[in-house]
Amino acid sequence: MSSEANYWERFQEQRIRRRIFLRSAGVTAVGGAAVALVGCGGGDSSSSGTQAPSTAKSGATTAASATTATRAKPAGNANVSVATLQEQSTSPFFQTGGLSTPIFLHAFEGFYRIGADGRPAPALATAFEQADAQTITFKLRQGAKFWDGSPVTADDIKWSFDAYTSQNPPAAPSVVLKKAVDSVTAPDPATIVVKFTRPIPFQMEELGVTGVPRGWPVASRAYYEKVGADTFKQTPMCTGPYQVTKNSVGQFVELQANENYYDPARIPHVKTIRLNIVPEQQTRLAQIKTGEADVIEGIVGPAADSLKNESSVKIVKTANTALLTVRFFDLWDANTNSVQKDPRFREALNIAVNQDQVAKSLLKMGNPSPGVLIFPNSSGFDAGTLKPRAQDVARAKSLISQAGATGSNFTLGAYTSSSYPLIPEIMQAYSGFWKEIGVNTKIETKESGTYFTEFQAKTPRGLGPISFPNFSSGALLLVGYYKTGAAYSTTDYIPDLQDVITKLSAEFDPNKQNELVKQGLKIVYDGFYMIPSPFVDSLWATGSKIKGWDRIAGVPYVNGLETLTLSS
Amino acid sequence: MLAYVASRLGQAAITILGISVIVFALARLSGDAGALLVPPEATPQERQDIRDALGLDRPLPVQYGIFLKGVVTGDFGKSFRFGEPALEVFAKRFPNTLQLAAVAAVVALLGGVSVGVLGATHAGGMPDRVITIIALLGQAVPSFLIAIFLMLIFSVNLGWLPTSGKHGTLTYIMPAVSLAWYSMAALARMTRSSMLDVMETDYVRLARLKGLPESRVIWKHAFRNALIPILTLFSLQLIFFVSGSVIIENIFAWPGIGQLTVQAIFSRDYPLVQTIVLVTSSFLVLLNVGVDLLYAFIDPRIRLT
Amino acid sequence: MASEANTSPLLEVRDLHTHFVTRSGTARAVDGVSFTLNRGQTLGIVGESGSGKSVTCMSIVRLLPKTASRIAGGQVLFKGRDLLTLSEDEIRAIRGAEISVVTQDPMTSLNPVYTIGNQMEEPLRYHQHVRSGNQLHERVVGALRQVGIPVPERRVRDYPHQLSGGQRQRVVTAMAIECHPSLLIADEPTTALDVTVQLQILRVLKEVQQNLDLGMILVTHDLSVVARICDDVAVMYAGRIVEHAPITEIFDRPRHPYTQALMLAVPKLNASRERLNTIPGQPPDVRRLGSGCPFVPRCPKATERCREEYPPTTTVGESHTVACWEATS
Repeated sequence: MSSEANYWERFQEQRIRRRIFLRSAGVTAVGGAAVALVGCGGGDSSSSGTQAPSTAKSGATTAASATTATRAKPAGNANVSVATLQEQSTSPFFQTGGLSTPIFLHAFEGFYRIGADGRPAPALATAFEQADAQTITFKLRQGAKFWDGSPVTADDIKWSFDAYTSQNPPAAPSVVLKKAVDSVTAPDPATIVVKFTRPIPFQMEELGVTGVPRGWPVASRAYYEKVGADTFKQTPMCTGPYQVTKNSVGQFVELQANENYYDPARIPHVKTIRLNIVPEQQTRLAQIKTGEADVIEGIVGPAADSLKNESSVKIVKTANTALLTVRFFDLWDANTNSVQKDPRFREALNIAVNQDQVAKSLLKMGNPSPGVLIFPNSSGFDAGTLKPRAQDVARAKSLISQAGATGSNFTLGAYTSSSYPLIPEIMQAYSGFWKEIGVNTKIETKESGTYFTEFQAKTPRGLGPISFPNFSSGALLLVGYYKTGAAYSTTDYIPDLQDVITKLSAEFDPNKQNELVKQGLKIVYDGFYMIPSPFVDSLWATGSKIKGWDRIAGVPYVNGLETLTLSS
Repeated sequence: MLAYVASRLGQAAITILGISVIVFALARLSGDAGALLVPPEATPQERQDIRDALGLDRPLPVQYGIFLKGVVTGDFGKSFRFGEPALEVFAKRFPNTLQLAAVAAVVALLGGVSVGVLGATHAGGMPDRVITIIALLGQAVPSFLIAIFLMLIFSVNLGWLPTSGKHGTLTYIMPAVSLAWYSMAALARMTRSSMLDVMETDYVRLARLKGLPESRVIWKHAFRNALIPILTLFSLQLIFFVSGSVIIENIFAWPGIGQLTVQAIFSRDYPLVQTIVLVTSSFLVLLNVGVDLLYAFIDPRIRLT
Repeated sequence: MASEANTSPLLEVRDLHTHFVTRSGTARAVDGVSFTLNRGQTLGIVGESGSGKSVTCMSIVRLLPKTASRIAGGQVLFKGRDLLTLSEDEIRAIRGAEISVVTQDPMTSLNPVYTIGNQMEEPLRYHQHVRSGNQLHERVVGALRQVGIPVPERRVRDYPHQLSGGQRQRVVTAMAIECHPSLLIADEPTTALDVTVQLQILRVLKEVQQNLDLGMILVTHDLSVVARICDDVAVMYAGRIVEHAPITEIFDRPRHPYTQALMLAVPKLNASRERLNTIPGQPPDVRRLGSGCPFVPRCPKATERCREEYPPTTTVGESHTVACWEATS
């Protein structure tokens, strides 16, 4: 699961700089949207215009599909420019789940990987069984091979667990995994049994890192022991559709097609891919024009316009990659008699905003959201219940006056995010909407690191936004972000909701979990606990060399490069 | 002279120690590395575990003591983000920054000085006017705009130079020129005015009266005397060649410390921030000491007092 | 024996005109100056600041500010060659070699960042192509000894700021003579020095001039300096020589009212140099000269004629010329 905090602050400064440039260059203030850069286009096949068969989906669920027998060997090369790969770690055992995700998604796998719909899909395991709350048994895929052609064994998987959880310093997600896992055993070569120290209700999704919703990254023990830790870190030996062949610090990571991949449908078409680190959007735009890059990430509105005249450049989109909600911080204080506790006040602030206007004139993209932290592709999302609300100023005004909140004053936090563009500008707009209904807000913009730290400490009061990249598990959203005490929750003291979450944490049936997720989200929706802002998209540009490309739904990072096809 | 060197080095050491305290405190003043590192869905207990694992649970003075002790033994700690020794992470990129800074410094110095001397020797003439306008532009137009313009012209339109990256001599050209741009303009102006002052002096007149060729008069007699203010400005600009590279490196995807610094600060990667700031500033402080010693070499009046 | 080289003067300046172009008009800084100088002879050029005496000298070696000034006419015949027609390279070869200049302010005339030796070697390298270090050292030390610098072997390693003002002026003098010039121009050589040091420097200049049989032009505003070492005196006013005579003649029988005024203003040796300013009135603005005598506003004997017509230069005694209506009538 991607960690928003990691994800946010990393792009921070590029964003700011880009914005300054765009402004000074007289483009427009939407430069800030640069950061939606990490967006991506997955399930949106119509806009991606790809011709590649929807192999990702079939490959995700079944092993081999017969149609792929005629497939040509991987050939050619492509250059992909990304804004950053952050720590650029090519070690499967040091993955923080942040902006180095493009490496992970193509090179590393665990029992399960992220499928085309953003939900777990079988990888090194073909199935799993949860006999009791604290035991999960994985059936291993037969015939899975490392990049060098050697078979993946149960021993490699066990060894990888130890290696992953004993890194010093640890990658943060591995600390959580290590504490939760009691033992990893292999009763036979085709089975791995994981015993936990506590009940694991979400099929181990709650312990994953980006790209591995169930399990941990698996690497070859024999190779590690042969080449040693230092070489391994640079060029490891794993199982993904692409092999890491070069890691040049601060410059690029080179990937080579893995022709031994167990799912023929996911054997890449393009033989060599370079992920080039090009932080500045203007430079990436120049690259797509000169042909130095074949795929670039992070296109924002005005930049997309600048590419319109380039006949060979195509813009592709992944919808709904990030969401912003404004929170009622006074709810953190159980003892306050703040008007924020009054549902009429919360409703008024909800329906005072005009999301359509924000999407069209400010963001120049995106769709209205329901005012609940959930994504359309998340499990447990019910479009029927969670309808975006329309603006109703008259009702909002009357609710405010009923709540006795006319003329009330609040501070309104703001920060610049990498995942969601133009937050300060949107807060400015919201401040205007609320002024209209008689609620005054004073905007206080903070550096993101400070803002998040304070948010986690739950010390701010008043109102403030918080943004999230796409998250596909509704259950994990509820437990991770709605539960009392969770780092980014503002729904701590809502008894009904906490009851649902408690039940959810004890429920092991995915279908019943989804029902509980729906219940919980409805409580939030009906109680107006969050003020909505539009879902935003991620945009990429592809050059003339690229014929087709499928991407994972909702994932804002570069992904699905194995589906990339070149024009002949 | 020896006392002079010793006192400058002593001051440098105190400066560096001061920087270490400031950077240590400043990094921790706002924001918490643990909070930013931990997966947001982690429980409070899990968050605490991660903080403990990073040693963030200890009192600040203790942490500083550990840090200082480590620095003395060459151990700057491990980067939270990169999971590797901070010094190593830094050392992999710093040479790239230095290479670019050095090329840019040379470009700025040679370009600025020759343009400035040309302006001074043709004061009031056509070359001088052109140079003055260019120098003004140089100081008015931000370097990142220059960078983008260069890229649009030489990469996108003409296709002569690669847009970015560090692979071969060609890729140095645009970053170095953009980075040098501002300094070059400033140095040109300083050189021009400093040279004009010196050209009026009696000793330059005497050099001419001695029948020396004009080139000798300018470069031997005038230039060396004009050099002190030029060098002073240049030594101040040295910091810019390293710090200014944050923007230029970003634009040209240069694998230096520019990006790294910003990442480290935003993620509150304390060991990495400390390493970057401490090593870079020590480097610059020592460079400035070097320039001070150079003054003494250039001007005997400084040497002998 | 009686070759032309011996009979023709070392330097002959004929009707020299030097103009300065300024925003407010053209200044005729030197306006028809003529004089001759022989080897072994010392000519003093005397006048207030702005009278054109220094400009005359700088016109001889053609070192005037490039942009603003222009030698508008005349001839400067040095050993029979007109210096004004030479190329830049040719005149540069003469500067510091055949014609040397001792500049005004010893405190600022030496380059602070090079040693005495370094600076003194330059003319030898450039004009006489002396390359050997030993030879350079010998020549430099010899020249320093000639001007009375004690322990010259040590001084060559010194920087200017380590020397006293008098010593520096000696160094400048040594630098001027080390290439054995035939003409030495001393431009206010003692102005910036203490009175006692002034005398020493004047003595050095006189000695050097005599030993090397130089032609020397001494530019000064101080008649008492002239009295000490000059054979002839040319008094300049507003860009022209108003009176020219042998030293005894000018002190005994000054004919021009300006010269007479200068005489009255000659300070006692220990008095301040500022006394010259006691001549009533101000020197004229050389950008706005009329057709008459420019000294008229300050002249006690001025007549209507003086106002309208510049007086011709008239011989009034042996080698004594003057440009004044009063003196000729």
